Amino acid sequence: MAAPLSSWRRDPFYWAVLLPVVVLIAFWVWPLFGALLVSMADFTHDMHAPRFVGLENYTRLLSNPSTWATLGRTLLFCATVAPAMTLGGILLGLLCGEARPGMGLARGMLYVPVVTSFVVTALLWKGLLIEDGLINHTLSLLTGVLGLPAVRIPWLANPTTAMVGVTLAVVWKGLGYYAMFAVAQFQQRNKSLDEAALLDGASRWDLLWRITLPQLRPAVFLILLISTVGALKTFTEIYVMTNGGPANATETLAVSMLQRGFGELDLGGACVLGFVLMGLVIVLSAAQQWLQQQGQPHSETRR
Amino acid sequence: MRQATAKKSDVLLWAYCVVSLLPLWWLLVTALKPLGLPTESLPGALLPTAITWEHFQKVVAAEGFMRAFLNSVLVSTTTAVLNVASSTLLAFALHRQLLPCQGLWMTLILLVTAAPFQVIMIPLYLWVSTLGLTDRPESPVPVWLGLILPYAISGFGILFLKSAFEQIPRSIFDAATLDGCNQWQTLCRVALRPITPSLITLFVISLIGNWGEFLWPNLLIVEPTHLTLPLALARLQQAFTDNWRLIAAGAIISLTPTMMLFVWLQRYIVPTQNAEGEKG
Repeated sequence: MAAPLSSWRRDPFYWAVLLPVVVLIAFWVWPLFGALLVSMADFTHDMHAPRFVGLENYTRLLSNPSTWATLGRTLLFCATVAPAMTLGGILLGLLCGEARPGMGLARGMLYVPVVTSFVVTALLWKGLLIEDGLINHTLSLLTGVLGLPAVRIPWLANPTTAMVGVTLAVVWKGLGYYAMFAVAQFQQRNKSLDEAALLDGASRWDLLWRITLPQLRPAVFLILLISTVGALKTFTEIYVMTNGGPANATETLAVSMLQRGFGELDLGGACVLGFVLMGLVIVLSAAQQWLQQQGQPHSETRR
Repeated sequence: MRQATAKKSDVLLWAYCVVSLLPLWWLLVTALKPLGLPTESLPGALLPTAITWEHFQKVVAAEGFMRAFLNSVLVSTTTAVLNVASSTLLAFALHRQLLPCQGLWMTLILLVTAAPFQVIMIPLYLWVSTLGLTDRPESPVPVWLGLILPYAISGFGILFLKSAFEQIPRSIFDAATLDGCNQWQTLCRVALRPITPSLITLFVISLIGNWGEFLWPNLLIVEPTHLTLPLALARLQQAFTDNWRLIAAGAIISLTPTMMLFVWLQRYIVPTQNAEGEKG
C-alpha cells in the first residue's frame, strides 16, 4: 500500500526517505552487484581499463591450490573459534545469567573486551605474545614449578603457533558478546521446570544437564552460527597481528582477498574470493534466520 | 548444598572476569611504567610500582596522533548520527509499508546485511574513486565523505529499528492517521518516543564500531594528516616497534572515550533482555 503520488507533495517524509534510499542503493546494493561484474573482469593488465573475461577468474582461482589452502585455513580457524565461543559463552551465560546482586557488574566486566576496538585488541595481544612477553613469562612460572625449562615461544613469528595467538585474541574479544546470547536464553527459560525437578529430588547436576542445558539449545546453535560468520569475516586482528604471515600461516580468506586485490591488483580474483566468503556467510545466515523462526513460535502474537 | 555450589560457580565467574580484564590492566600499567622497570615478568608487569606520564606525553606530542584523535571524533560521530537518522527513516518506511516494492526492499536489505563488507569493498573502492572521493592533500572532506557515506546506513540498523517499531501497538498509528497526521508528523510526534532506547543503542553501537573501524579507512586514507585513530595507532606500532610503553599509551588514549561511553551507557549496550528488575 505505497502512498499515492499526490501525498508526496504534502508530506516531507517522502522527501526525507529519498536520501537513505539513494545511499543504500549507491553504496551497498550497487557495489554488491558491481562485485559480480568485477569478478568477471581482468584488471591485472591495466588497472584503468578492465577487460571482460567471463568466468576465467573463477576457474583460475578455483584451480589454484593456494585458494584451497586458504579456504582450509579459514575453515580450521572457524572450527576453533566457534566451538570456543559456544562453550565459553554458554558457560559464562550460565554463571552470570541469574538475576542476583552483582551479576550486572559481572556482565559489564565480561563486555569490556567486546567494546575494545580491533586494533587495540590486536596490539594488546601482540604485546602479550612476544617472545619475551607476559604470556611466556606466566607459562614459565608454571613450567618452573614442574621443573621444566622456561617457555620462550615466539607465538606470532612461528608458523605453527601464529594461529593460536590470533585465535586467543579473537576469542578474548568475542566471548562476552556471545555470553549475552546465553544470558538472554537462560532468562527466558521455564523456571517452573526447575522447581518441579528439585521437588522430584533432582540434584543440581541433573538440573543443569537435563533441565537447563536442553532449554539453552537455541542459544547454542545461534552462538555457533553467528560466531562462525564472525570468524569468517575476521580481518583487522589478523592484519595487524601477523598480516597473514608467517609463511601464510594465518592467511584466511578475508586477509588473502585484500592482498590479492590491493597487493597484486588482481581485483577480479579478489572478488571471486569475496563471493566464496559471501556464499559461506549466506548459508550460515539463512540457517540462523530459520533457527530464530523455530525458536520464537509466538513472535506474531507478541505485542 | 545449593548455596555451596552457587558459591563455587561464583568463584569461577569472578575469576574469569578478573583474568579477562588482566590484559587491559597490563596495557594500562605498561603505559604508566617508567623505563627500566619490567613490563614482561610477573608480578612486576602487573603492579604499578612507579608511575610516569612521559609515554603519554610522547604519544600526544607524536606527529599527527592527536590530529587523528580529532579526525576520529568528527568522522565517527557524524557517521553514527547519519546512520541512526537514515536507518530510522527507512525502518519506518518499511514498517508502515510506504515504499513501492516492499518485498524487494526487504530482500535487498537482508542481502546487504548478510554480505560481508569484504565483498563490496573492491567495487565500492572503484566507485568511490570514480566519484572523486579519494584522498587529496588539500582537503580531508572528499575522503571523509568516502568514509562516512557507506556507513551512513546499515542493514543491521534498519532491521533493528524496524523490529523496534513493530513493538508499538498498531492502534497508536491508526489514531495518528485519524487525527490527520501525515507520515512525517506520525514519525516525529508519535513513533520516535517509544523507540528512543533503541535509537540510543544503535547510536552507541554505531559510534563504538566506527571509532574502531580499520579496513575501509585503511584503503581510502593516504594523507598522514587525514588518518583516523585506529590507523594512527597501527602506524605508531610500526614506527615504535618494541616500545610497548608508547604503543600502550596510544592504545589507552584510544580506549578512553569508548570505555567512558560504555560505563555511562552500559544498559543500552549490553544486550540483556528481561533483566528481571535488575539494571543491566
